[in-house]
Parts: sequence; C-alpha cells; structure tokens
Amino acid sequence: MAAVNPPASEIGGLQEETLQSRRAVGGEGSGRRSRLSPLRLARAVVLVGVVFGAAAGLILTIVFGLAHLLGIGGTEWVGLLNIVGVAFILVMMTATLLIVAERKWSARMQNRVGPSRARLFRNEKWAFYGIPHLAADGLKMIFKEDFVPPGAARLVFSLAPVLAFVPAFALIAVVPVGPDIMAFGTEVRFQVARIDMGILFIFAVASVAVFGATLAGWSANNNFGMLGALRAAAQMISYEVALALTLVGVIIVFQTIRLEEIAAFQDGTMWGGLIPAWGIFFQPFALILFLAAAFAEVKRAPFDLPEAESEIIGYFVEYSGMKFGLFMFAEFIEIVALSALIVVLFFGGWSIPWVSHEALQSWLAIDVGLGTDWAALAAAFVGLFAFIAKMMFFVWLQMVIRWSFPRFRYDQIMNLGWKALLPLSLVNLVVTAAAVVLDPTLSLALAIGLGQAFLLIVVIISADSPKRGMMAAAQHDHPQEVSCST
Amino acid sequence: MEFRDIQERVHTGLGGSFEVQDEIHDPAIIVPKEQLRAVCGFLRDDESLRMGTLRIITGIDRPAKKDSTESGSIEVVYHLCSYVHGHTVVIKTLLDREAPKVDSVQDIWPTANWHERETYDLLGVEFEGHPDLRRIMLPKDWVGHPLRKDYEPPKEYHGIPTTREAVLQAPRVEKVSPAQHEPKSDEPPERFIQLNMGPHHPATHGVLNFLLETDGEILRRVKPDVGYLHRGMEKLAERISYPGTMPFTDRIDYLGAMFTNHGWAMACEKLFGVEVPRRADFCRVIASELNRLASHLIATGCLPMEVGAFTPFIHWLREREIINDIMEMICGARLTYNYMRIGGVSRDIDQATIDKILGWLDNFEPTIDEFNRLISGNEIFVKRLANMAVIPAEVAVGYSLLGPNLRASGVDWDVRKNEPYSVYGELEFDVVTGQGWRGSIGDSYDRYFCRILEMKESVKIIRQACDLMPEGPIIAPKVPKKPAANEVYARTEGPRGEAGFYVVSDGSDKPYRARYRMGSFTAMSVIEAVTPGLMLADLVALIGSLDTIAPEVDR
Repeated sequence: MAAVNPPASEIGGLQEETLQSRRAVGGEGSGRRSRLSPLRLARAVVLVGVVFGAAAGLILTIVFGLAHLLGIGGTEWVGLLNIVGVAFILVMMTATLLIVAERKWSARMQNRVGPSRARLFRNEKWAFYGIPHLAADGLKMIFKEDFVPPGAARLVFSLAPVLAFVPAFALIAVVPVGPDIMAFGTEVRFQVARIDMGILFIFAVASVAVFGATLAGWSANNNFGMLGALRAAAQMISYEVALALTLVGVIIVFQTIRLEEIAAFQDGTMWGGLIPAWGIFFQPFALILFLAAAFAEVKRAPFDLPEAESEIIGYFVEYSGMKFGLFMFAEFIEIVALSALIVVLFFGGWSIPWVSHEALQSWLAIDVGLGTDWAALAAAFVGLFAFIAKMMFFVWLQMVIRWSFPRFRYDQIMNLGWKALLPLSLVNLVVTAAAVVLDPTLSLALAIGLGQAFLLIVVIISADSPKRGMMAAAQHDHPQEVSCST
Repeated sequence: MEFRDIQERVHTGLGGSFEVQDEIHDPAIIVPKEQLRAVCGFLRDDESLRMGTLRIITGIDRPAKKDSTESGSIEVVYHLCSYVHGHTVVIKTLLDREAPKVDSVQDIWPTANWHERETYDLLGVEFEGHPDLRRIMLPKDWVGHPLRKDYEPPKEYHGIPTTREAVLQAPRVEKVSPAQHEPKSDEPPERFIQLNMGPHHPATHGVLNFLLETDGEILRRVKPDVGYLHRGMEKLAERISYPGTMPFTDRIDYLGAMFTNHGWAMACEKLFGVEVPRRADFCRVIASELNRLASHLIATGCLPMEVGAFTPFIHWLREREIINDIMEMICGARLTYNYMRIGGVSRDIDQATIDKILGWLDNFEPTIDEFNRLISGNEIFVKRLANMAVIPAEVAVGYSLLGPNLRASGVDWDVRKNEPYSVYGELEFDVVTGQGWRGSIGDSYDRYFCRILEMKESVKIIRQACDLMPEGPIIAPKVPKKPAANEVYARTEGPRGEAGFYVVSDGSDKPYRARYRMGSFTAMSVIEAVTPGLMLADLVALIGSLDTIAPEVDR
C-alpha cells in the first residue's frame, strides 16, 4: 500500500508554507506553468512605470529644485547636486535594488519563489517582493568576521575592494541622463561632469577596474584566487582593445567624443524624419560587438571566468564580510553604468524616437498650456523617464543572459576576443570611416547600418535552431553531422 | 562461450591443466600465482576469448582453522568479462597468508591499478610490479588491513578515539593534529601551480580531493585522492545478516539506491535459491527506472551548472521532486529507499501510484525536449563539451568504465540487454550508444547526451512495466535464514553503470565476504589518464560528465 502524506496542517507552520509554495511553483510538476495574463501584464507595466517615474521625479526635484533654490544654476556646482541626484539616486539605489531583483528574477526563470522570508516587523504581508532582504544581507555582511588570510599582503588586500568599487562608480560621471533645461531662470543639466574627453574618460576609468580584481586575487595568498586574478587581468585587458575599437566607429559617426553631444545628436532624425538618428541604426554591428566586449569587461556571464564559482570560486575567494560586499556591489554598479552607456551611445540617451526635445517642449508649453517653465520641467521629466526605462531594459537583458548561458573556457574567451571581436571591430571601423568620408551627411552610413541590421536579423532567423538540431540528433541510430549554428 | 569451453580453450592454449572450483555458482579457474600473468595475458589477447575488461579484483581472507596445522590463505579473485563475445569467467589465485605476494596485472588491464591498490589497502596483498602501490581508502599511516579476519582496529588514530567505547569515555578532543592523507608529490619546478581541489570544492560532488599540478590554466597532472567517505561497507556486511545489509546498500550510491538494493537482493536470492514473484519483479523495475530518471536528472542538471548555467539544474530538480513524491508513495522514503527484500519488495505499488506515475510521465516526456532547447543545443555548452576529454572505446574498456560512460564511447553494452535480469528481457527499449553527436565519439558531450536519451528509454520501460504488471504476491513466501556455502556474483545496470555484488557465503547467517563493484570507482580512476593537457575548467566539466559521486567511489 502507498504511504499517505500526513495532512499539511499536521506538519506545522513553516513546512506547511513550504509545501504550499512548492505546489504554487512546481505543483504537480512540469504540466503547470504560470502564463502571462493581460491583467498581470498591465499591472506590471503600471508598477514599473510608477517606480521609474518616481526615480525620474526624485532626480528632477533634487537636482533642479535645489539648484533653483540655491541659485547655482548654470555653474559647475550643479555637478555636486548631480552626484546626489544621479550617482546616488539612480546608480546606488538601482544597484542596491538589483541585488534583490537579480535573485527574484533568477527565481522567476527557475520556477522558484526567491527571497521571501525577510519581512518588516515579522508581518506576513510585508514581504515587499523581498526588498527587506537588502537590510538582512547588509547586516549580515557588516557583522561577519573580517578575515584576512595569513600570508596575505594586508594593505593591498584591504585596498583591492576599494579599487574595484571606485572606478565602477566613477563611470557614471560623464553620462548625461537627461536633457539640459532652462526653467524659472535656472539652467540645469543632468550630468555630473561635463568634460571634453567624454568617452576617453570611460576607457581610462574602466581600465583601472582591472586592478581591483587582479590585486584582490594576488594579495590573498591563495592559488585559486591567483588563477582568478590572472584570468581577470588577461580577460579585461584583451577586451579593452575590442571595446575601444568598437566605439571608435560610433565616434566617427557622431564626430564627437562628448557624451552629451552624442545624446543631443540622437535626438534628431535622419532621412526627413523617417528614422531616429540613434546609434543602433548607424552601428548595429558595433552594438553587438560592444555588448560582448562590455560583458567581458564587467565579468558577467557568460564571461564570468574570473569568478567561475564552480571552478576556482573566484578572485575574491578569501574575502568575507563587507569587503566581499564591495566586490559584489561593484559588479551591480557596473551593470547599471554599462547599461547607461549602451543607452547613451546606441539608443538615443534621454531622447524619444521621432519626438525631439524642442518639439515636445513647445507642444507641452503651447498645446497643453503648461507655460514655458513648467513645460521645460515636464520635458526633462519625460527625458529622465525615457532614460531610466531604456537603461532598465538593458539591466534586465544582462540578467537574462547571466541566467541563461554557460560559461566560456579560458582559451575560447581569448580566441573570441583577439580572433573574432578585434578583427570584426577593425572591419567595422574601416567601413564606417569610408562611409562617413564618402558621404558626410551620414546617409550612406545609415544605409550601411540598416543593411547590417537586416543581415543580422536574417542570420539569426536562419540559424539552425537548437530544437531542430536536437530532434535530429535524438535519432541516435545514425551518426549525425556536426551541426553548428551561428 | 560457456565455462567448459573457456576452460578447454585455456588448457589447450597454455598447454597445462588448471584446477577448477566448480561447486560454486560461478565456477572459477584456479591459477597458480606464478602463471597468473601468462593466463591473464592469454585471456585478454586470445581471439576466441577477448576478455578485454577486468570487472573487479576481490581479496578473500581465509585464515587457518584452529585445529589445522597448515597456514591459512588469501584468495585473490578476478572477474573478467568480454564485451566482444559476451561471456565472463572467474579466475582465482591462492596466496600464502603470511606473505601474500602476486604479480600485478595493471599493465594488462589499466583498471587493475586502483583495484590492486584497494586490495593492498584492505587486505595487505602485495602486487609486485605495481607502479604506485599505496593505500587508497585509508590514511597512509594507518596500521593493519581491515578486511583480514583477525583485524583488531587501533584504539585511537592521532588522538581520535575509534571504537564506540573509547568515544563514549574519551574527553572532548580540543585539537586534532591533521592527518597526512596523501603524500605530497615531489618538489615541483617553480613554474607549476600546485592546487588542492577539494575535499570541499563546489565542483566535486561529495567529499573528494584532486591534487592538481597546472601550468597556468593547463593541467599537467591530476591525482584523484579518494577515501574521504570510506565507511567500510564491505566490512560492515560481514558483521550484519543478509537482510540487515539491505539498508546499508542504500548508502553506497545515494542517487541510485534502488539499483544497489536490487543487486544485493539478486545476489542473496541466488544464494538462497529464492524465486521472486512476477509482480515483485515489475515493482522492482518500475521503482528502479524511476530511480534512474532521478539520478540522470541530477547528472544532466549538474553538468550545465558546472559549466556555468544554473537555470537548467533547478528545472530538473522540479521534476525530481515529483519522483521523490512518487517514491514516497511507493516505499515511504525519498532518498534511501530500502525498498527491496530478499525474495520480493516491501510494499506493493497500488493503482493510485501508477496513475500518478503515468500522469507525471506524460508531463515529463515533452520536458526533455524543452530541456534540450534550453541547454543541450546551446552553442557555448556544445563548444565546452564537444571533443573534450575524449575516451576512446579501447580506453573505456581497459579502464572498465561502465554504464553511460562506456556506451558513450561506442561500446554497445547494457546489462539489461546483454544479460537480462528481472523482467527486462520482456520489455522493449533501445540501448543508447555515443554517436559523436556534436564532436567525436566518447567526448564529454556524448556522455551527457547519452544520459538525456536514456531518460527517454526509461520512460518507455516504465510505461510498458505499468502496462504489463500482473496481479499476485509481492514477496516470496519463505526465505531460509542460512544459505549454503557458495559464491555468487549479481549485477544490475545502475545509472552509473553496473552495480555488481560478489557475495561469498560460508553457510552461516552472515556473508563471509561481500564485495561491491560500482561504476564511479573506475570512472574516477580514468581521470588521471585523460586529463593531461586539458584546462582547469575542463576538469570540472569532465567530472560532471562522468557523473561520479564520492560515496560510491569509497563505499
């Protein structure tokens, strides 16, 4: 006879809950999956909109409101407000929430519930999508033993987390997150530092980040850490070359290295309003290359060799407590900064396709009747919202990639960097330069870009889908040809 | 070939006449130790014999009777098998108990290397010509050989009390001096990194250590260091009755407990001469194949996890959870089942359970294709595994790899098909062999994909078994307490290969000697041979693709 499960009520509180969540998630197994209903989708869109709007409004209020109150509009002092508004609200808050978001999202992908146990005041209903786990994690990290292994280079060991954290954070300094506005007699721009070197600053700072990982692995006096450090150094230095070369194409198209000018340029349209002048339409190929190189640069899967936890545990193997927390946090900040960069360089920054900032402003001022000043503020709000929304999309994309793909091997990653990305980005550079020289109005460059995009789509669609490949392979009576999708 | 023909062939081929022990279940040829190497070489190379693989080496201690004047002996038993002709033979050699010495056969069958080390470790038999004869399971400074009948365990080891009484009486040990388990290799040149991968490492399933010597990322030498989970299962069986050993077999291979149960039950049934009722056989097959699914889910889920993709693993765990529920309905346990009894099974599988199984299978089968879309066809995954750590058929046979690892190398050998036991002979299924799906035959991808396809075969088997299951009793009515003196070898096809049980009885109610032959032990021994030149990340994927688990290696 079969064993009968005791009724759930007899098992006790927590277990009962676990059983219920198991039923809710896996339930009777493979048959039951959660489907996306229109109502849930609408609710999610509204929720996300409210969160993004709140962030945009907060930045607007802090930066513009304080600048107006203090009367420092138009000066370099606005940069200080931007550090609070942009760096703290946008980057720090997003990165912090990402810690929970990543756990929650991976749980969604894996048919789990994810963090749900930390609650405010032990109240069942106050789980807030796992956000209290941030506090729990933070407390845990602060109170953990701060262990320094014997034989470690103590100074470097303590310095390495900071070296990893600071460059990640500094990347955001040159990114314009919103349009420049002029309202109530105060001129404000949403960018921490407006410097001439723009993209070069990003290259410079990003290359400093390698010190954090390398020194962390080296100083810990651990062979696994050492391997991680070597991997990090080799990988990050290799991919910096490809990273920079892909962006040279973008620089040639926009003919500037100042990020605010690149963003402003993309606010316009090409071919008489047919196509927004976004970087992706000029350089779709460079976008793919940039994505690959940038993922390698921030050491995210499938390029997470330096911290391959199933092989070498990672360059931070000996770190504990808040020092490890800094490494983890630096990674999330890098995700945010990288997404912001992609948005500014390829997806029009704060612009909305086909609607230029001026047009929006005058429509708000005259047709809606807000008046010039309030219209400027509203347009800035829309710009900030658009930027955050686009940035979040790329943050999400990175997470999906992180939780879908296996990891490369060391030689494969080097081959990809030096033998694929580098030559391809050189080809891209030459083609772009020729197109711009032949046709300074950029029409030719745009045509080539659209052609590339079309080609990429064709290749992706026609590639041997895993489904077909596996179905064929499943007939194991006949040896199969080696089939490789692109 | 039958045993008589093999004996005839050996006699004519070598021109001598060997003694034969034919009163036991599997008759054995008794070879004088001087001629052992010649006989072994002949058995392997002769066209009509082709004993390509050594299944297992067993040492049996037979001390002298008290009133006898002659000194005792140690038997070393070699179970041989030919995949070409599909026949088996047992050869034995008798050694002097005081100074047991015999020639090593590790150059004839590479797999003998580890088996001889184990026999040396546990019985003190010295194999002359063995290149690396040192203890494998026990620490190198351990005193004595536990499987000797007159073995007295030391009272303490480096200050750690070892007996139950001593543990209860001893004061709390504050500090334990670390035991030297494995000698450090000779002083290496500076430019190579020495790495201790394990005993606690995320990639080694269970407590297992690898001593690596790497040139940067490239491996130069990998030495598996096993024995951290050695629980002396074989010694335990000598002290516990035949039915009492059943729950211990669960712990040999915790992912495939049904198969070890089944193997032990079959060995005992051969000894006792018990007929298993038909319904019980079907119950066994259903439970075993469900267990195979559960084990392959872990194997194929862990491999992507080890190459960096975590998501597939969790999806397989979801499916495995349902199998565990079903197992709970069948036998009341979720991992260590203790389901089988000598002569049958402990509980019947009722209609509600069968409905649940069939309902789940309908959901599960499409999930395999879904899983393939998720990870098996992933380009990075394929690139990581294809053409990596290729084990050709001759190496696989020589190292006596078993189960999916053997079949992935292209050897069409499945105990369920080739030596059908239970009711497998009546069921229809295919034996999956490696085809070099994405690379070459015998690479890591083949080992992985063989398991994926085997799951589909298991689904087929369960469906048929549920269909054909007759009514009737589930356990034999009468099982004698004591068997006659005999020697039997029983094998089942487990998820990690053949689970072989060699049981020697002396007529008492306890086994005189029990020997377990598990797939992971030989799979672990092949690692040292195939790894040089691979990269560090490949080692992790290789361990995953071989699907070794530590308790099965150590027993």
